[in-house]
Amino acid sequence: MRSKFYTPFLYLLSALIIIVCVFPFYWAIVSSLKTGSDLFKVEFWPAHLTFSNFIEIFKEQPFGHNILNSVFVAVGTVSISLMLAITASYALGRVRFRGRSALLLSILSISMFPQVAILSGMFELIRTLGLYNNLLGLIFSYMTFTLPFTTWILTTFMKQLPKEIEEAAIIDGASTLTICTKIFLPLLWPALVTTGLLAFIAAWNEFLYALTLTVESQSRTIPVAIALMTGASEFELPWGKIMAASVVVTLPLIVLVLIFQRRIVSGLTAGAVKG
Amino acid sequence: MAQVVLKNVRKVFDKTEVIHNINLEIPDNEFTVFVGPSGCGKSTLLRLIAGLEDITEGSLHIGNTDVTTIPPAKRGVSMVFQSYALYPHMTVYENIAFGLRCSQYSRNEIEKRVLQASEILQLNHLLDRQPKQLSGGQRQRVAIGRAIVRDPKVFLFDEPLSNLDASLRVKMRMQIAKLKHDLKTTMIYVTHDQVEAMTLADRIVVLNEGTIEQVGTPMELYHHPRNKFVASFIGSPKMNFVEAHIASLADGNVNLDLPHDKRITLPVSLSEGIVLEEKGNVEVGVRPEHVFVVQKEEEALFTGDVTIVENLGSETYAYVKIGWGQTILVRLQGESRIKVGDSLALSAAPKDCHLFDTKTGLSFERAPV
Ligand SMILES: Nc1ncnc2c1ncn2[C@@H]1O[C@H](COP(=O)(O)OP(=O)(O)OP(=O)(O)O)[C@@H](O)[C@H]1O
Ligand SMILES: [Mg+2]
Repeated sequence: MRSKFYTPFLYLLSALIIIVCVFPFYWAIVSSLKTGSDLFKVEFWPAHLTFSNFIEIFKEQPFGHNILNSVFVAVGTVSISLMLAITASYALGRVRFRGRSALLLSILSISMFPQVAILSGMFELIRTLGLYNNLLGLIFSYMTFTLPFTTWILTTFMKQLPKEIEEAAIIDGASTLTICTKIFLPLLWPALVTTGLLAFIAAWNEFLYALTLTVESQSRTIPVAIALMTGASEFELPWGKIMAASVVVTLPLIVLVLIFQRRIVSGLTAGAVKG
Repeated sequence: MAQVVLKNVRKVFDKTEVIHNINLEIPDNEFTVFVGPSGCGKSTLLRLIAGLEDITEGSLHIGNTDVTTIPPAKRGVSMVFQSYALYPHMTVYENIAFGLRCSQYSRNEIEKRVLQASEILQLNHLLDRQPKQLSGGQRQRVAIGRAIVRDPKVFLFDEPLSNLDASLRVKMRMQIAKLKHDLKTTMIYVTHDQVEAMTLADRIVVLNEGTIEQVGTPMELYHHPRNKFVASFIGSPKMNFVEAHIASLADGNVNLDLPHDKRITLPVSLSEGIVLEEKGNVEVGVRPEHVFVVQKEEEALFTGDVTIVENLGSETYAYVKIGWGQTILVRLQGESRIKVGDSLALSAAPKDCHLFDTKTGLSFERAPV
């Protein structure tokens, strides 16, 4: 009975992995519930629970506003990227034309550029467009990294859809737009959810562009707002509040992932569509 | 009125020509079957007619309209694919209705037509299911339903039954035969199944390497194949070919030497362009079902030892080695007691023998049966 012998190890290993992954988040929650010098005591459950951190972050700064900014930017980025990526992947995945693979390869290589490399160029571009300190500017700049990978992933899924289904629709008299919306979109739905979620997370967590392209605290997104939080004095780092803010902004992501969990799993096998 | 006419049609895929200069007229309301070996261009020809591939050169008419450059949806054709190609996320009803919805039919009209089609194909109880909840035969019926609701001028089938198992195939074949009878529409059907071709077709088009070898009714092809290729392709098991030497030619008859000093006299009508030379070589073709066993050796055309016996109960096939390194296949009625190693004397009626030119493979014309 090998399996009986190995089962405890399996559980042990799983437990280890879960601890490593979840512990930081647990620590953040615990820290967010503490204030003052309690913060630096090692406790697995705080002796004095307090929610003052959560209240203060909304009082002392426009944190609610920052959350709305982040939601706006992330949703905008996801929807515009998906819209463009769907149409692009239809062309790249289903239409034969000259230079198709060259185009695909260049899209892939663009996504390899480090953000810093295009930062100064992006800054000039945004300023010229008059989008400096504007959320639209952030959406625009975020698409430099979301668009390549959404296009790339959707193209892969698009290519896997059987050709006969498209041809049957053509014979049935469906226009290209109808084929895209009535045939391909429903079949790609799981893939869309997966890529959309990845793009959302990327946009939600982005820091560098958000820091560079906004100045006022009113127009900041969450990661920047958290990083620029200041304590009572110059020398105090407000750990409790930072942790409280992190918990607040991580929760929506977790909820999203849980909601779409089954979609994500099936999205990864969406290629298995068969008549 | 929906005859299909192809004129000088060529198709080139990335520099290789796959369809060479095809001229074909498919009459209205006929059931035409394309047969041919794998890769000969049957599907390509069908897709050219459907409009899924562009015609490189030549023209295509459906009815009296030139549709060479018209998109598929406007040609009035519908197609059934080998892999069913159902829309996986739609129910059977939606699958069948999709084409009608694209053509902006009214809701009532759509419902009427879908129900009518599902009646014909016995799909009524399956209308709410998704394709993944159907068996292969049911899926194929849905695919056919999707094709018939649109009331097309021309039906195209690309090996619709080849994904089904043997017994289901027989059932679906009967269903298609019934459909052909009920719908009375021009139908073009691609298959490489002998039986489907022979039983369903009004006319068969035999294709080989992108050209048409012969067009005719199943019986024309069976009795009067134009060349060796058609002769061996039509009929199952395939025709035997035996090498023979021309001994002499005399008024409409040719005397041939066969292995083991046997002789046969065959009638030929020597049409223009075909020359038989004395002392030349020809091939005699005779189908396994036309060969029979004779008791006396003197009456035999072929003699030899049995090398393989295949007993199917209703009939028995025996392979007989007849000399000059040749083997012929003979079909015997019922369960035969013949064993491997037995010596057999075989004969065939001259009217059942075909004569082919060894070099060109063309057949010498026989008197009509
Ligand atoms: N899209 C394509 N690009 C290039 N060559 C093609 C394409 N489609 C078909 N061919 C070639 O055209 C020839 C005919 O193909 P086709 O599919 O018509 O054969 P078929 O008679 O239907 O064979 P099968 O019985 O195996 O289905 C083949 O040699 C094939 O390689
Ligand atoms: Mg084919």
